[in-house]
Formats: sequence, structure tokens, C-alpha cells
Amino acid sequence: MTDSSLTDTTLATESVAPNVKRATPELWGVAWRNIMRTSRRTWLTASGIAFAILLMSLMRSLQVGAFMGAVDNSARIMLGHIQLQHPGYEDDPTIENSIHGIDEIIADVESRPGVEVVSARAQSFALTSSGERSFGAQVIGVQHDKEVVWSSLTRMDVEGRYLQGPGEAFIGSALARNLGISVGDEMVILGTAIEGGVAALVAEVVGTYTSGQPELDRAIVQVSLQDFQSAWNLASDEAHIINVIAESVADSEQLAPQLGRAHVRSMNWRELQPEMVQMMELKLVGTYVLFILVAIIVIFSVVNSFMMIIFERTPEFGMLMAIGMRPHHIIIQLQIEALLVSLLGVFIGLVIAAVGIGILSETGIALPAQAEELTKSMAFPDRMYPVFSLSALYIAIPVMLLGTQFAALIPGLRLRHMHAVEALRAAE
Amino acid sequence: MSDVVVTVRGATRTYNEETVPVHALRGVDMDVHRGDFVSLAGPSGSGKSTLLNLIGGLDRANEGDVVVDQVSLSELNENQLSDLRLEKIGFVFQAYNLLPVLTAEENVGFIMQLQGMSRSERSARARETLASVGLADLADRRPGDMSGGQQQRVAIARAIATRPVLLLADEPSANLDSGTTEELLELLKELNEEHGMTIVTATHDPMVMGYTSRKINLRDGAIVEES
Ligand SMILES: Nc1ncnc2c1ncn2[C@@H]1O[C@H](COP(=O)(O)OP(=O)(O)OP(=O)(O)O)[C@@H](O)[C@H]1O
Ligand SMILES: [Mg+2]
Repeated sequence: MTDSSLTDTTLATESVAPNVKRATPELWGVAWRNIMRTSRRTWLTASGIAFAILLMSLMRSLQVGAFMGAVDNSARIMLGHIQLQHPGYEDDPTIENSIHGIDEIIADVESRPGVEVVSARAQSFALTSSGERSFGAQVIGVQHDKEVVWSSLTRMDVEGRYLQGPGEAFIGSALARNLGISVGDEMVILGTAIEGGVAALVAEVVGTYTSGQPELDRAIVQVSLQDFQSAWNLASDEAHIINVIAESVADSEQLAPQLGRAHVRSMNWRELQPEMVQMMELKLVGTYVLFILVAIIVIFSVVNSFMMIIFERTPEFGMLMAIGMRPHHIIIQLQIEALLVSLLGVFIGLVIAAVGIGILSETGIALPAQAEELTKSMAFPDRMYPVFSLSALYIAIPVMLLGTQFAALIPGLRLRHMHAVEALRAAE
Repeated sequence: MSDVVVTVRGATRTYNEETVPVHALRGVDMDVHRGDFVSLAGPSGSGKSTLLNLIGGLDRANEGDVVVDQVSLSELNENQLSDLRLEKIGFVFQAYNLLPVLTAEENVGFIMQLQGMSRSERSARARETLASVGLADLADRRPGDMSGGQQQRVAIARAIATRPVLLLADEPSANLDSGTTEELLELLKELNEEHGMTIVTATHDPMVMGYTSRKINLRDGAIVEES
């Protein structure tokens, strides 16, 4: 360090760094071309991602389809898709918590698009007896001419026939057996009418049904609404429940929030069938577990694929760093490539899922014979119509996109400390 | 304004200092003046690439210093070195010079893009530079559709398009046949003589040495002869 010329030049370097204007490199176009250059690998990676998305949407759509079928079936037994009730009736189902003006309400609801049938019920707990035997049961006064249109209970393994007018009773077969009566016999019903009076009714059993669900077969008596109203001292426009049958479960979801009014609460199917909602959520958890397993496998394959990419392109990265590109820009470039591949995969998965589910939702899928038990006990229909469900994808899509970013970053971070010379030498 | 573009003083570069040290450079002194066309010659492993990398700010000396265009490289951090390379130095390597997915024009425009030059300006400059290396017709081709010699010309075009103070070429003709090498050397010579471009190139090839104005011979990491 004795040479004076060095001292001179060193002194002249007060403002050391060159004053460079830098722009963010244009990475998107290059990224797209890069993933298209290794198109075989890109398609393989993308199809892994597509598979995960497809699996998730298919499984979920089948589940939602099956559950929606079950919800619909179950709604059409007795519950209806929507119920209108006195706001206090759910928590305190007393005879006083009734709704008035049912004829106007029914007329209004029936006029709405998407509504199939609307009918009213008045109901109370009562003692039913015949001779020496007595059993408690839910006595329901129904608009039988409408009830028969939608309620499948009226057709379940019926002995005799359904209600046709006053003075008649339609009861569960287990209750009939318990009471020791059959079609043609009389039964006595005793309850507490409004304001504490006694409600008494004698009716002839015209039919019995067997649903296979013990709680329905053991404890329900249907009589005509007029009989109920007069025995329990209700007004002729008074009832406890208005059952709304929509054209589909989906229609009912639209309708439910519009049907509430002063002193009347509208309950949707989720409130009416909470156990079904629980089962769906439980199933969703199972589906996610499977999805996460698939996602992990797919993400590992993405890590692998990006290790290959980085390995193959290390000399190129060395050259880029040598000519002045910053390592973090190369990492960003790879992240963009990962994003494009994952978007491609998600897009393909969604398109295939939408087309496939679209076709299946028209034709339906026959359930296998093993499912027969489920079909019976849980009111599952024998043919299932998948319903395209976005809900599962709200998580599946971000998981795949972020998982791919993460997968690319793991090998990509190595570039942070890579030097241009080493990288260029990597080719040798 | 100084006439000296590069000053190397006492530059030492040792690899694997902890284990078995490899003395790639053992105290090299040299100057490069504006307008020089220098070849670094010497047998394989003599330190040509190492010296070129130190001058280009791609690597750091363990001892001694390198000053490029009045900037002392030992005082710069990694980002500043990167800026210096972007701004002042053109590189041509033996291989992997070009991005295979970009056209010749886009490859030449790449550094200008990093420097923030507008699309139209860099496109015009890239085409003009490609024309000056005799590739006006190949602007829209990708490297895969060009010969090795053409690819090296594109690399030279990219290196000079930003008007660097120094062009460094490490074995630029190693993958070329002698005819193509000659054309490439003619091009470098023309750049040097007609445009005053300062060029330092490392080479084995006697043909290259025949074209340069200065020849520096290295052996075992030291300069043994200069002519
Ligand atoms: N990254 C490194 N790690 C360890 N040793 C290295 C490294 N780079 C170079 N060397 C060693 O330093 C010495 C000089 O290498 P250099 O690449 O500068 O030689 P060269 O003259 O360019 O040779 P060639 O003509 O083969 O390109 C050699 O012995 C080489 O093995
Ligand atoms: Mg070398």
C-alpha cells in the first residue's frame, strides 16, 4: 500500500456508493414465461393443486347435496322448511303463546314466489286415553286438507286413512298399540285449555301411521284444527305454528328472513333441524382433515418442484445477480412463479369441479345399498343431488395458494445468501 | 477526471482459509486505463477469473484493494457492490448469459429495465445496440433459436448498451469455434478502438491475446509477465 496513486484514488472516494437509480424489475411477464418454459412440470404441479381443490369441492358438494336432500326430506315429514311462531313459543310452548290472524298471514306467505304450501297448526300436550289406559301425547290440530298435500307423515305406512274432517284422529301406531286401540275405535283427549279451562275431545281413530321414528310413532295425535280450536278455546284465526313448504331448501333460505312480522317469528331450517347442522359441521371437519392430508402431499411436491427449479436455474440466478439484480428480487420472481402455478391449479380444479358437479346435480347419484340404513333412519333420500358449495373453498383455496407460496419460499430462501460467483460456478 | 479506470493493489484472495488454503491470488498489482483492451492469460487455475471477479465487484479481496472508477470496492457493502455492477460494469460470461425466455431485445433491455429506463427508450436503445453488434434482424429471437456466437453477441450488446465504464469478459469465446471467435474478437476490438470501451478479458486462447493491446500473464495467482 505504498503506491501514492492508490492513496489519491482512495481519497477521491468520499461519496462511496454509486448513485444508481433502481427500478423494480418487471417480474410478472418473465415469471409467466418461465413457468410455461417448463410446462410439463408446471402442469404436473398445477394438477396436484387442482386435484386438492377438486377433491375438496367434490366431497363437500356431495355432502352438502346429501344433507340438503336429508334436510328437505325431513322438512317434508312434519317440520316444514320454515315455521312461523309466536316469538316466545320456542322457549315456552304454552297454549297462550299463539299467533292470531293466521288466514291473512297464510294468504300473504302463499303469494310469495318459491312457496309451495302453507298450513297452520295448533298444538298442546294432553292426556290420551282409551278405557283403562292413558298416555301423554302431543295433540296437533291441523288443516288436514293442506297438511295432506305436503306432510309425508300422512302417507307413512298408513292403516286406515288420513283425516278428512272433524271428529277424527290420526295417530302413531305405537301409541295405538299402547292404548290398545285400532282404526274405528274412539279415544278421549284431555288437556288444559286457554286460561286454565279443561279441554276435552272425543275422536274416532281413522288412521294410524308408522314412520319408524319412535318419538313420532309413540306420542303424536293429529285432529282437525277446528276441533282443537273449540276444545282448547282458541279463536278461529289462532294457531301456534304456520308451516311453510318452499319449493326447495335453497328457496327457503331466501324466504325465511322475509316472513317475520309483528308478534311472529320466522325460523329457518337451521333452527328447526339443529342436529342436521351439527352433523354437517362434523362432516366438514372430517373433510378438512382429508383435505389437509392431500394438501400436505401436494405442498411437498411443490417444494420438490421448486428445489428442482432452483437447482436448474442457479447459474442463471448467478448471472442475474452479477449484472445487478438483487437476490430478493429473484426470490420474489420465484414466488410469483409459484403464485401463477397455484392460480392455474386452483382455476383448473374449480372449472372441472363446476362442470362435474353441474352435470351430477342434474342427473343425481344413486346411493349405494349400504347407505340404506342411513336413508331410513336419517331421512336421507335414495338419490343424491350434489350442490356446488363454495363454503369449503373459502378455506381450501387460501390454503393451496399460501401453501404453494410457503413451498416455494423454503428452497427460495437459500438464494438470499448465495453469491453470484458461486451460483455461476454451480454449472461447472 | 482520472485516466485510470481500475487500480488493483496488493490483492490477495485465498479460498478455504480454515482448511486447506488455496491461494488464488497472491498480492496482485495492476492498473487499467481508459481505452485499454487487456487480456488476462495463464494456465487453468492461475487466478484469471478470480482477478476478474475482484475487479467486477463480484468477489472481495482478503487483502489489498480494488478501486473502480474512483470507488474503493472494499468500502462497499453487498448492495452497494450490486449497484456498482449495475451502473458501471458490463459482464460477459462463458455461458448462461441470457435469460432463455426473453428475446434478444428483451435480454439487452434487461439491465436498462433494472435501471428504470422507460420501455420505449430501452427498446430503441436495445435495437440500436443489437444493430451495432450485427444482429439487427434477430431482435425478436430467443437465445434458444440463436447460434452460440450470436448469443455471445447479444450478451455483449446487453453489457455495452448501458455504456458501462468497463467491460469484463470471462472466457467469452470458450464455447465458440475459431471462425466465430474471430468475429467476436473483431467486434470487441471495434468497440475498443472506435468507441473507446475499456475491456478486460480472461482467456486461454492465444487468438484472443493476439487481438488485445495489453497481455497480462498470471501464474499461481501472481502476475509473471506483462506486454
Ligand atoms: N469458490 C472457490 N472455492 C475454492 N477454490 C476456488 C474457488 N474459486 C476458485 N478457486 C480456486 O482458485 C484458483 C484460481 O481459480 P480461477 O478460477 O481464478 O482460475 P482460472 O485462471 O480462471 O482458471 P480457468 O482457466 O480454469 O478458468 C484455482 O485453484 C481454483 O481451484
Ligand atoms: Mg476462469
